[in-house]
Amino acid sequence: MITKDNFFSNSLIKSYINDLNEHLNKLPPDERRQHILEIESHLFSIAVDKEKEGISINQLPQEVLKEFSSPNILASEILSEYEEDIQREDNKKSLQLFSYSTSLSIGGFGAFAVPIAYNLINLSAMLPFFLALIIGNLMLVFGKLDWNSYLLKRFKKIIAFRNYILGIAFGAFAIQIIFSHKVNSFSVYYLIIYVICTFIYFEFLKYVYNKKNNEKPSQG
Amino acid sequence: MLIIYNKNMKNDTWIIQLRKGVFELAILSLINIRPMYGYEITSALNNIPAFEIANGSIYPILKRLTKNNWAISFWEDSIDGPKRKYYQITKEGSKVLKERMEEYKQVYDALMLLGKEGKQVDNKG
Repeated sequence: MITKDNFFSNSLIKSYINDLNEHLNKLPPDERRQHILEIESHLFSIAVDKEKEGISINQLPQEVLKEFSSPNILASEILSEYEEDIQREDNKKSLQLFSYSTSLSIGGFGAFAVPIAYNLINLSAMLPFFLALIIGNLMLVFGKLDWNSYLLKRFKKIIAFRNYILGIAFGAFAIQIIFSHKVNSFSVYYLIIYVICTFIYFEFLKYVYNKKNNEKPSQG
Repeated sequence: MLIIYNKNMKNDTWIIQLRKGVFELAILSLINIRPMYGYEITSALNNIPAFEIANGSIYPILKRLTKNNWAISFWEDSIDGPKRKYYQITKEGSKVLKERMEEYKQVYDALMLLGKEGKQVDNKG
């Protein structure tokens, strides 16, 4: 008589369950587990009935799986019921990644205005901000983001930050004048370079925006 | 009885769509009698040619029913095998079942009437 242990230790059954589990990996672990347990129970019930019909224990796994939808078809049918939840979760992850990317990128770039106020540049202190700028931009360009309408709208708003960044640079320049009572040539040159870089940087962001807008995969 | 299935039209998308909605009602009708588990529901459906369904395909529909709060589920031990997940109809499910059955009956009656009248008109012509 077939038992739970010998049925589920069969390689065919194991492989079917593993495949199904892999195909359902987009589901939260608890939901996935519930589906797997339910399918296991179903498979075993068919096996019990097949055994009653006279099919030998050795042939049972094969015969049971013959009557079952393949793991990828079954998984896609199940996942279709979670489409909205999965999409919502993907959007949430995308929004989080986008927030990190833009914070690192804009924050990193903004920090480069500080030397204008101090009238000196400390390269080692600037290194983390430089890295943040690079990582932030790499995440924006190559990160797995779902560029939907909402994310693009947010990105457009971020691009409008250019004037704030310029404001910070000129504010830093004003601070430098207030505290040193003179216009330092380093600050002036640095300010000019910073302003040029700001325009280049935001042009780059605009380019990324247009590129992502053109290859937008979904709406919503 | 509703005639919803024709073997020659198995792959017709209209039939597939129609069956999709009808399956929800068929399952609700079954669990309206008593709580049932997936294999039990599949076996009961497969006894009726119009409701033949592949093993496993029932679970997305059951998920939809619980998501809509038309059914609730609970686990129970089984003597000879793994635990079983039972489905039980809710008050909301019973209401939906009653309403939709009436709707289906009306549509079916209207279609049959049209069919009869169509024949009569055709004979006169």
